[in-house]
Amino acid sequence: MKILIVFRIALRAIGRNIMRSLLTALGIIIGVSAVITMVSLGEGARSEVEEQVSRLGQNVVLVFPGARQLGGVSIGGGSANTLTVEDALAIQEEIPEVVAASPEVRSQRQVVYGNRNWHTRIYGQSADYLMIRQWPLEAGRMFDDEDVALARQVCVVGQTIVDELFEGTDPIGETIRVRGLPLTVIGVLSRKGMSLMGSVQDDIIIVPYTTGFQRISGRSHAMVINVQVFDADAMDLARLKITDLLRERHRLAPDQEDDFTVQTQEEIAAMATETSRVMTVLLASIAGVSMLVGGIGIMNIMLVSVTERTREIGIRMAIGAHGKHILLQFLTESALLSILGGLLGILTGVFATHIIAHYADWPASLSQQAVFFAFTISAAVGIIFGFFPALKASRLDPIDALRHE
Amino acid sequence: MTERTEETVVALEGVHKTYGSGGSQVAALRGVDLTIRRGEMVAVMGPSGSGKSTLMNILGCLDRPGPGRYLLDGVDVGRLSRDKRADLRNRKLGFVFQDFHLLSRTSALENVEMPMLYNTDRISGRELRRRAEEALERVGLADRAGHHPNQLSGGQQQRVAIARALVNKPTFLLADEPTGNLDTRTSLDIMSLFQQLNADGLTVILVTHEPEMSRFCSRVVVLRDGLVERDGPMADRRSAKAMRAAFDREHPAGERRTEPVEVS
Ligand SMILES: Nc1ncnc2c1ncn2[C@@H]1O[C@H](COP(=O)(O)OP(=O)(O)OP(=O)(O)O)[C@@H](O)[C@H]1O
Ligand SMILES: [Mg+2]
Repeated sequence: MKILIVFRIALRAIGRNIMRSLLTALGIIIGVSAVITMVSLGEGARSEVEEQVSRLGQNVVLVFPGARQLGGVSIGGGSANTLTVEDALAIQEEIPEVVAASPEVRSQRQVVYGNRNWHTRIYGQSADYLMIRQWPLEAGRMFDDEDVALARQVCVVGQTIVDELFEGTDPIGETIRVRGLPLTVIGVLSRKGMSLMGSVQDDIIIVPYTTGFQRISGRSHAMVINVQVFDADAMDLARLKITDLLRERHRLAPDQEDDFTVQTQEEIAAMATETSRVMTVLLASIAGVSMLVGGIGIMNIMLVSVTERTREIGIRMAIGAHGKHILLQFLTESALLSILGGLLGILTGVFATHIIAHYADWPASLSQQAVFFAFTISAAVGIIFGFFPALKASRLDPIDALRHE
Repeated sequence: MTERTEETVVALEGVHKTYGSGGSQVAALRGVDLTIRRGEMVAVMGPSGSGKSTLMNILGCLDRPGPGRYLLDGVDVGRLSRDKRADLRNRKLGFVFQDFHLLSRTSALENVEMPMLYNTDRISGRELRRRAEEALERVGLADRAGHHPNQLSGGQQQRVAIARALVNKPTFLLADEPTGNLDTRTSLDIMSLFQQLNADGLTVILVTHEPEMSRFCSRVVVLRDGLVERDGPMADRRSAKAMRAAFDREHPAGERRTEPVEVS
């Protein structure tokens, strides 16, 4: 029996009742699109975390606002507003083990130069930030404490910005605009681009935190405080002292929990790994459950279809179809039905990912693996859950089937 | 009493068939002997429940005989597997049913192509189509190839079913009450088609309730209570084509002969 004809028969059976086919495939559509969306959002969040981790210099401690979360790194930059610029200054001044502390504020903004524009991340930091990160400049200078104190409209740009906005020409002295706010470029960062995350890291503009807080983000609290400790052996001590200092500054009673979290680079890396593992397990169970539900839906409708078409099966058998021909026909139909659901789910998922990434300002990155996986799984679901109805059809007795009303 | 010659297509030897089990057993066939030679046109008659359909199912390899033997072209059908019997149905038999059994929402042409899909022969799509068109032409429906069953009259549907039965060039044609759902005029058309196919050399076995229809056959087998009660040649065989012409003369009010009465 020709495989093309099997496909034609199956497609026709699906097309005969479009509405029912769509409703049947709905479970698969929802499952697949949910998985693709969540994996893509998760992937985006994970690369953001990785980026943060790789951004850290040596002997760096990060202070996040809010209490320690279960298995989570605070990604979006803190729902809690518990860290102030003064906290950062106090850490730098009062703890001898600390070399420098930079309060950080991040925003995602459209940046305009001439008739070109580019969507990038703008970081508000202190003048010590590049030292903390051990990130040299390629040209120009870093803003200094005076620029910070006066909230000057100056910035240092990464290589991606040079490429995208200035098309490789010298940007120093040029003025770019962020929502109408002019910023003068005074320095260019060296390229980080060789590492995996490099090109992402180069997509950055750094401004004095005063400018960042007041004029760009409109926030008044730090999303992170980047702290550099002078020696690796002093990390634990510094951490204890930071904790004590902040508890005191925040006037926390002894029985109250910390309203901030101090973490070292290793801890953050470990946590990121743990987070993505938890995420994977969670996603896998969502995928599993929704595919199970979708599969049962397909099995159900295929059983109905076999009953409805008992006479057709009888006719085909009387005319010479073997059981395996009937089996193949119904298996093809259920597989196509669920692949159709998978494809629609992929479309929906990709669409949803883009919408969320755009409107919620979430760094989503579409996971091709998830798309491929979703497609394969939906085909498998169709075959697995279609097998029982198809087997039932193939085992019908032709005489009984012909007599079926 | 079964003499087998080269011309023997079907040989039944003491065939039994019992339905059900325990106390509610029904003996539908109770030892049927029957030999049918190539080129015969046999009418199987008998009262309702006498086992006609059961016999046809066995002849058609849809069912296995209980005790007894069924030789089709010398092959013992009772010993064949399910798939082997399906292959026999596909290659050697053509079925025509009382209620047509066409696939709805599938064109006449595709209905006729269907038996060739379950063939092991390698046939190209074009050849498939050509053979189906040829079969439709033989039953006089070449111009209705693209129509779906619900766009065809009962007689036309039955002719599509006959084309489907013919397309694999079967050894014999089995028809269980092929005119049961048709009016007299259309029945005569169908019977004259059967007569013509028979004249071209095809063996035909058909079940009928109507004595008039049996008169177009060359031989009549009467069943009663699962046994052959009578079996003999039709003394006074008629031509369905001539009867059809006579019918038109007697009922001149009827439509022209190319338009059979619609059966919904
Ligand atoms: N699947 C079945 N299960 C049980 N009994 C059956 C079955 N099929 C047929 N029978 C019985 O076998 C007997 C013969 O039935 P069959 O259908 O062969 O009769 P028939 O001669 O074709 O009758 P009719 O002219 O009404 O079509 C009947 O008594 C019927 O009730
Ligand atoms: Mg019957």
